[in-house]
Amino acid sequence: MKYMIVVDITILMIITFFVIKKSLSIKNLVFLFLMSEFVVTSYFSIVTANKEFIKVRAESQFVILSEIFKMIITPLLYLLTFEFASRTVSKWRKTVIGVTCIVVVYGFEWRLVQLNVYNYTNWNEWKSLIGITTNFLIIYLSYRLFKWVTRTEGDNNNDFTN
Amino acid sequence: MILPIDFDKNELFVLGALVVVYGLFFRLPKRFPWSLTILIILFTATTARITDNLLSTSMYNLYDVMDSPRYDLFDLLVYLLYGPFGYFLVYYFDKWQLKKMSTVIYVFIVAVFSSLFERFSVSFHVFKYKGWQLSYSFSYYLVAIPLTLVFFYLLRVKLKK
Repeated sequence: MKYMIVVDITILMIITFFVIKKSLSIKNLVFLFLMSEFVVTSYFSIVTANKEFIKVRAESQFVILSEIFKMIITPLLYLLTFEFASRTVSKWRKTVIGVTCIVVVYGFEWRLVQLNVYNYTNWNEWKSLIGITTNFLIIYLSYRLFKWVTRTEGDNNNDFTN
Repeated sequence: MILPIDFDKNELFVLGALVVVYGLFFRLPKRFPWSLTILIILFTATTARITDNLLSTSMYNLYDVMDSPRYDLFDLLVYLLYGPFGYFLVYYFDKWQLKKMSTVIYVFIVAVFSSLFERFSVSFHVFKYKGWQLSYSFSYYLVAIPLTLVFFYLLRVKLKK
């Protein structure tokens, strides 16, 4: 039951994403989703397979929950963050939205630690927060580069980079 | 990001292939806007990344990429290598204006070519099969190639609007 809540939240997030009216163009959304997938799965491979700082319990239901977190929840949260940030022009609000996203992503990870899906070894919440922030900044900077390319092609979609 | 255990023939193969593939990529006449080109390359690399993440590191440990099950610098370069293959795929699909049966033949030929390239990569230890077989890869390519073409088609339709 307690594990299914993660699945239910994921389904609700997916529905939310598809029903909200998007202000970002389709190519920006596609770029952000693909980039988020690439960065997040790479980050998790480094902290789990390479360094074993975060260990995922071997039972299949825990592995599935971990995969849902890194391949659906986190990229979708980044995507929603950029989408909501594109609706405001205030840099202060954009920053608040960005920080909220990092906290929410960490909140999910913290919940998975509570559920014993993840076990930390020589790792703590601050390192996770630094990791999540770094991922966010990598996606943000690559998105700025992509925006620069699309601007040269005449696209002026309003978002984080404006 | 860790460095490879040994700098040997698989690393040299990846570096050589990167030079050849990106050399071809930049020599081809520009056909699509840069934004579309970036998305196609990113789509191909991310699809490969997700596949490897699911099949080689999680529940199923069916193969290793490069020296170990770990994610090293050259794993990342392998994904950079995949990107232009997706670009070449849609480039010639669009250039030759393929439709219906010609698309099926094109997908089949590219899947055969991709499998042969993978077999060549395996001989250089870029991939180490641990329960995986080349015939599985061929089936995988028969799914991944049309998926890339559909992605390109849908994106272009959306961008034209």
